[in-house]
Amino acid sequence: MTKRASGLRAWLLCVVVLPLLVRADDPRFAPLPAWSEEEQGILQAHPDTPLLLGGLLWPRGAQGGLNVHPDLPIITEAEQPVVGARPPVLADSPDLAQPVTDIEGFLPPAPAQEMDLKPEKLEPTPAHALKPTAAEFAEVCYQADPEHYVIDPSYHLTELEREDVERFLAYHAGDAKIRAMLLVIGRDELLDKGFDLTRLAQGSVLRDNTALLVLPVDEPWRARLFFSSNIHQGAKSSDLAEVLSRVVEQGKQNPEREEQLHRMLVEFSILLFQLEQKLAPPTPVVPVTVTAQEKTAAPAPVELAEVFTDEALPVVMLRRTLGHPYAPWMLYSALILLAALVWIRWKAYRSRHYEWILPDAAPAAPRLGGEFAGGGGAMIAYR
Amino acid sequence: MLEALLDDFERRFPQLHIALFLGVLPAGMTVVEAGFWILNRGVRKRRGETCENRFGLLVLVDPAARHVGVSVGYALEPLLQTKALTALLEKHSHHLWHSDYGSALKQIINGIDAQLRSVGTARRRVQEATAVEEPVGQLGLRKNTRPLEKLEPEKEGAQP
Repeated sequence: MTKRASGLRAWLLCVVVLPLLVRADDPRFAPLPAWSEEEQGILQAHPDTPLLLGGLLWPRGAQGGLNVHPDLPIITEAEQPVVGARPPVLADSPDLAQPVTDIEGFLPPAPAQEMDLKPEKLEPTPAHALKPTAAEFAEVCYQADPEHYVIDPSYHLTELEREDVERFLAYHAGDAKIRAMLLVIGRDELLDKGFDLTRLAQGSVLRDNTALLVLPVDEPWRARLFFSSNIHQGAKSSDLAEVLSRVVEQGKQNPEREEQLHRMLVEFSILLFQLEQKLAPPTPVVPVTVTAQEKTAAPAPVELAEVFTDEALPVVMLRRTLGHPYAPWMLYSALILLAALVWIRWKAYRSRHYEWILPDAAPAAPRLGGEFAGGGGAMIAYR
Repeated sequence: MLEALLDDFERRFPQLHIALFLGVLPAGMTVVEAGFWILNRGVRKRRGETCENRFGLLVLVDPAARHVGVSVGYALEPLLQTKALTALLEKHSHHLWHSDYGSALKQIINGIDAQLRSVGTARRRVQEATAVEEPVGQLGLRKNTRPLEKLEPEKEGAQP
């Protein structure tokens, strides 16, 4: 009996008490929090404070988090900050201390980009508003690090963009025979006439086969392309022009800045790879005796020459004009005006040179004794 | 201005002739009666030929009685409806009310022109031969193209 009783107690201990003990240690079954005496004192010191959930939750502080100090102001409903604060649904959660904008740092890049507003379509800078680059800008360009492929003295690109482009162009230069360089200028700037491209980056542009893309930010249609003279001599001008036109086209198709830069440079790199396949083999250098007089008379060789598109200036101007956002409306208005002018001129010509033959309608029957007229017509009094 | 307007009108509609009457009518006579009388009794000559009054068109204004009317011959009655003519006169009666008779007559003639164009058939006008007949000048006189008679010199002493 004793053995049976002790066995029963042991069984009860295992079945009933042990699970209770285990549940007591489980954090899921921890006891509810209770206000301390200090906290209750603070609550009593601010009896008018609207407390959430019937007074069971702690009031919000000025920084959006919990107000745990009695001297700090307590934000009422009317004084709730709008910007950077969350709705008071989770007022008791500690993450209220974080402003809303901080959440972008915790999001992956794609959602963070989606939160950004779409970039507005920028109008092309009119020609009269373009200003040449300053002399200080040129000096900084001349003194730029020759090991770098991106020259952006005015910091138009962000640090991340600059590093990305630098990495990409360095990777390109590792495999390609024609290295690519990028000079970034402002969207309302153009290279000054006195800007010496050969001195760019301490003259490093003259070292190898170089393709230099001068890119005004957000205005890819004004991009200019320069090639080393040996590339100019070895490739057809149409091929070089195609490089420029296709790079510009990529820029125009992608208005978003980062995407635009990325697409343009990728296209640029691909075209440079294709171009180096088309380059004629270098001509062997034949030593020629040059006299001192010829040396002084001969002009300096062109080391870096610009590429121009094949389109004539009127075509370019027409395309730019048609690309203006108001161009369709202006065109329609001009067409309407032209049609009205033609119509007026035609009416005037017709009234001068045409005559109208009236139909042979059956004349009215003679009446009132009139041989030719019977009082037909109309009359009014204009009093 | 009105002369040129009437000339152009008659050039555009060679079948008909138009005339204006601007004056005070005798008491008891309306513009309709005056138009009836003028179209039946009047004679209009153009280039030496008498115009056919069945194609006559007369615009009459009586400033004293403040009446304006349009009288047409039998041939034009089917082409110019009374209702349309009344609307045309009322549309431009404010010029008459301001005694701006020139503008009123010009607008009325242009309105009749538009109505007749809508029923007529346009064709390119053949230029008239000017060699046969000289156009009249501003005073209605033609240049004398008749050759001067050559007077034979009288022989002295040749008396009968």
